[in-house]
Amino acid sequence: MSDSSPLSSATVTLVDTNVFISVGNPGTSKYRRFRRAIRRAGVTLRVPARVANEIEDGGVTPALDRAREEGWARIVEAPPVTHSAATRARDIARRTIAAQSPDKDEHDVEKADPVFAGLAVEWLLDDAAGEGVTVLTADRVARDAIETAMSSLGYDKQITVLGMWDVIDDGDDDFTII
Amino acid sequence: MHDTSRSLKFTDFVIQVMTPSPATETPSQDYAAGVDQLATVGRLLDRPELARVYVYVCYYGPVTRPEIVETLDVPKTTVYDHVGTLEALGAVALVGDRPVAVSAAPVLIDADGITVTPTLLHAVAMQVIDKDIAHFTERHGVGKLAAAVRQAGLHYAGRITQRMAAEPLGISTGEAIQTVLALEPVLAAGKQHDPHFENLFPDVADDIAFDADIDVTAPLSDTES
Repeated sequence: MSDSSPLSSATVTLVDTNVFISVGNPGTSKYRRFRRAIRRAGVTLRVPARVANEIEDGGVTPALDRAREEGWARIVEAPPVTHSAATRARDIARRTIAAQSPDKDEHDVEKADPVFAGLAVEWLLDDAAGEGVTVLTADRVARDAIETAMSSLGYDKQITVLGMWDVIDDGDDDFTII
Repeated sequence: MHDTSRSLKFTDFVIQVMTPSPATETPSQDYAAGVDQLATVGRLLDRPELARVYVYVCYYGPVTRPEIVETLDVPKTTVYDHVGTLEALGAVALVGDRPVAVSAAPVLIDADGITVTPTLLHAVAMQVIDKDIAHFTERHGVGKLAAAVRQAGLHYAGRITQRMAAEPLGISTGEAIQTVLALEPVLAAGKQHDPHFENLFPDVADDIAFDADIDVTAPLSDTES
């Protein structure tokens, strides 16, 4: 993985807060591996301001603070999801998540999850996206739903959805069982 | 893997209180043993250090007391105390001779939708080594920790996102993400080692899976950490 990073500084890289919560605070081996992978790729992660409050509730304020100080992450005001393709992407992601549970409907889906699909398309259609958009998330269910939205709208070439383990290798000390 | 010796007092029968049956229909010794087991589980739910020794023995036993000392990194006198307490409660049994090993049967309480299995006791035990789980339990109590384990199971089964655990638990989305992620090793170990895992996650137990390759075959985290 570290040999050929799927991350590229030529694309906009959108990161969900769960990634910072998953890697933990500076000092953990997982944080160090993640930091190295992001800096090697020369990427600046964009954390949408609308979910930035989750960083504090998730207990990882030092993780994001350090990344911002070092310049490999920043909090951005995400554009409103207004392009019709972007709202379609968001709606498909929301339906896909709701469809995983027999007892849930679209209203049960937490808004912040499908919005990443909408934001990715919004950014792509804005000129600023360069060669494309990458979404990085530590939530497998959200990732699958965003991928479904991208492929059904034909954006899967320009918008890549990655999980944690696409970016770093797992370490033996990432989990303590007991 | 599990010692299912019938000589153990702490057997894995099910306490059923769904349809209260007349006193004459429930053998009184089963009833008495069931209530004793409830009392024991109550103690473990309230004592993370004790639950940790119990779950370790249950998942990886029989093990000797020196092995418990080494693996859990707990002082020897504390381990002997805990094993003594657990034995008095009927939660573990001493088996064999030179070396004497400690053995535990997997507990199951499944009464009117209230289910307790080793996986839940493992979550309780994680308070000792995981500050996120400790903080969560301190704030919300052990009942909500149990509810969080169920929600985390739904996430790892692919049914809900991490954020969707927030609403049923009445916590913020940031805390929901943190808690679901922190419980991942509990679910990974439970899926492998808890014979009553399906009781805790009816319908979704088989779908629970993990992106990371979590090695639950041995309890020790890597020595180079």
